[in-house]
Amino acid sequence: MKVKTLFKLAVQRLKYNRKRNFIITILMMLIAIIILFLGMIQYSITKYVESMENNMELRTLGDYLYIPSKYQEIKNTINNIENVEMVVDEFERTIHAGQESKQLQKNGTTGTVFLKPANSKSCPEVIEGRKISNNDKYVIILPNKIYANNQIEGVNNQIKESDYISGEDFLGKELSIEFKTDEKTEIIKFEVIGIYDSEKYNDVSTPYIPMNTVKMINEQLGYEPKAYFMTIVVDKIENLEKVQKELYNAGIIQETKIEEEASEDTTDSNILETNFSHVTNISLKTLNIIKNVLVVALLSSAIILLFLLIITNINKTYLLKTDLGILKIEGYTNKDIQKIIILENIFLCLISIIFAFIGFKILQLIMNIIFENIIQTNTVGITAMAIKEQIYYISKIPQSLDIKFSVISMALFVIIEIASTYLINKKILKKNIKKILE
Amino acid sequence: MSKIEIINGYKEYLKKKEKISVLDNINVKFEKEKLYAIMGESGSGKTTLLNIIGTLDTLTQGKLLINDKEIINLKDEEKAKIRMKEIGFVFQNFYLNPNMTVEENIMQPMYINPEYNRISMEEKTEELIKMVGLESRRTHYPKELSGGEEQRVAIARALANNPEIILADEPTGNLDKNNEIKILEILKDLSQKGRCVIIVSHSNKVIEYADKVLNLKEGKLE
Amino acid sequence: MINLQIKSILKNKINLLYIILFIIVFIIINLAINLPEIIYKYYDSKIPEEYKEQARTLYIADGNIELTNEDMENLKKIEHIQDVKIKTLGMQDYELKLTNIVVDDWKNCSKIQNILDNQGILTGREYEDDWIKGYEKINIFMNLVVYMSIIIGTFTILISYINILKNEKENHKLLYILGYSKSKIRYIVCTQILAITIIGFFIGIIIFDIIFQYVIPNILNIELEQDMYKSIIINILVTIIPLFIATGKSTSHIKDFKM
Repeated sequence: MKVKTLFKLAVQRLKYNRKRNFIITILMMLIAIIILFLGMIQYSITKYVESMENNMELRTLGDYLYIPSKYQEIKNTINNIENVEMVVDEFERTIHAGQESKQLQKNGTTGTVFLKPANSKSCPEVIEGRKISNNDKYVIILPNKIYANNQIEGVNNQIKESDYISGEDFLGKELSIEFKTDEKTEIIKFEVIGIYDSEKYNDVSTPYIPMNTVKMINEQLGYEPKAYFMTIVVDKIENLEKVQKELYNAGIIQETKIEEEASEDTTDSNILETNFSHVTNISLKTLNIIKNVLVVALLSSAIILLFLLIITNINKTYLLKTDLGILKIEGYTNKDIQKIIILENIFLCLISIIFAFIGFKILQLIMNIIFENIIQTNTVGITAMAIKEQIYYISKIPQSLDIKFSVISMALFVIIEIASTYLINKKILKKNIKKILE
Repeated sequence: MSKIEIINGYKEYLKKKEKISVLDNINVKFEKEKLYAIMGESGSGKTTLLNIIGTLDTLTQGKLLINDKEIINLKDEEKAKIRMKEIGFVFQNFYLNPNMTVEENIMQPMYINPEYNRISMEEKTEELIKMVGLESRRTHYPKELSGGEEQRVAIARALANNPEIILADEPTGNLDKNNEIKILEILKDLSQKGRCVIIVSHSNKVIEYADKVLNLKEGKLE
Repeated sequence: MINLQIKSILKNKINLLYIILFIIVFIIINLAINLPEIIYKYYDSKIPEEYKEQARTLYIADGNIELTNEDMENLKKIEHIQDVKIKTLGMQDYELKLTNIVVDDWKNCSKIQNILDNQGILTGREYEDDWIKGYEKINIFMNLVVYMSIIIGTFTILISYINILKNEKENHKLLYILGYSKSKIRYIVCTQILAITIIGFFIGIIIFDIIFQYVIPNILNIELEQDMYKSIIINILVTIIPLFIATGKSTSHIKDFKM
């Protein structure tokens, strides 16, 4: 049969049973939307969890009290522990001064930054430029999206896309930072040598400079510590407990309990704590459980609807048995009939997939509007405020569609639909015409 | 006393604000112990007339009387009672329930007849199966029967509640000559035994069996 | 009459597929209804035994609030509050009085905190580990999952009913011609649909029971209790609402009764 005729007949059949085809299209569209949501949740939360795992703050053990004369010995021991990326002492771990850059001020933000040390191992991977090496001095690595403010992000301080400054604009240029203590003010210029992905590292406000430079600046500012604390950067969050155990075995710490939220009072130096960034307060464990439950729920829904679709297909085919019989009487071969009906179904699939993408986008918009409204309302009460915060952080999770997953899942969906149609028709067409028309 | 009477009967349909007249000024009486054949070309309104007589459809204007009782204003429950007690239908496509055996198809109308109990139902079914000569096929399903056998089951079902009126819409349309004769003979026999049988058909064979032939042309009876 | 009609509908092979679909739907709906219980018991098993008592104890955060005996009695009347007592902590130079509110279960603490907050009483929790905090956060998603499963289940059942009725359309028309009234036909229609649904329901419930009472407790090492009242009501609603929509006021799946 000519391809043109095939198309013509398939389109004709589409117009035939508009009501039935409408129900089938709606069903297929629903299944497709659910599959897309599945993909989005899976992808978004996985990406988000990965970014949290990359975030340096979340894999830093600190702050540990030490005796300066014994530091070198301890440092050597710790550096020998597998999975440790960086050990920094009191002078290297942070600059004890207010840090502000006028170049990073925008829309009323103060330009406040908190420079952090990095070495060649711990430095974030860059998307442009180069990483920090151990020989560098006055160089700096910036996130590609910068928000420099003295207020941290949260429901009471919401950041819009337009509030961000592009870090890439500074690549190869100089960034001036003013360091202010009670006694001194110093302005130091840094060469911007690299840009890292703020989404990948879940960080929009941390520039990194060489750890030796942190020490130099502290000395320049005449910093005199009252107590000596060190921090340890581990390569992965999952290795935190392992390193913790090693430190305990080496006699460096007395207890192995890890707190997951930064407590305000860190005077108990026997317990190492991770500095949990204020980027989110949903713990990783719960996030993973939520992800798994949602994935299972959506998967089961997709399975139910898929099954319903197959049965509706069977139903539809049996009710239109006479159609098949008549086509056979008119002289179409079984192969021709299969081609026509499968093409008709492919058209239905494509129509429903297109509507599914549109429907998905509309649902996303509605979700965002609902989130916006919840976030903007004045809430009273602890629980209402907590919910509002949760919704704010959820709305920050990137809602993107994984293209690979979408394409593969939609293709599978079409294949299953075609396969079920082919098999059902095959069973009917096996019989003789009289039996088909009964 | 005429069994069925239509007085000044009109039937119109409205399709996209256009009136389509199907039956035009029908005045007719049907009596017991007679076999009527309603002939006409396709589109002349034969099936519509039959549906109206069988209370499946209603006249736009005019009266339908069955046993001198006016049907038009009756409630659904009362019409259903009349269909159950007074009328038996036979169709060209048999319309047997494919998921029920021959016995079960014949018994189906008896369940709503309060005159039957379980024993009398079985007895009557036995009688009807014998009457149409399908003793050996009682536990078979419609798809296992020939066309003629299926129509005989349909006739037996139509007689389940002893109706006095039999309405047959192209009963032999799907049958070969031999089976056609068999069916028409059964229907003639029924009319001779006291029933009013109305057959709508194209087939000229029906005319040979009919006591009276009515021609329907463009909605008008000749 | 009904036996015959039910037998007729079960003879149709496609309806057997619908029974299988209903089995799956009822398993998933019942799992969804009991999901909060599963999640709660899982989280509960993660809280150390020695902290269970503290986990369900709140303290009044505002030191300026002093409750009278009458206030304390009124608080005890609130649902889920088991006891209100004053704890005295001996500090270096003075005595610190803390009012403790003991709740029946740690999962009800945030509800009570909200109620008390609306009354102007700010409270804190004696013990709150990561698991407890995580449980609070997971609740939003739990409800979402439950509602979504029920809606999809109902929708599936509705479409199935519509399909089943469409399949039986000719047989139902036939009944009308044979003298069955519309109300009798509607009765038969509902019975036929319920027969299919009930078979699916019973098999589904048995499988669900096995999963709920044996499989999940063994995997997660917890003991589960079913919320029978909620389960029964939701299962009935999920069946009855689609039934009403599909069958409508009259036998709506048959538009006209002429053959």
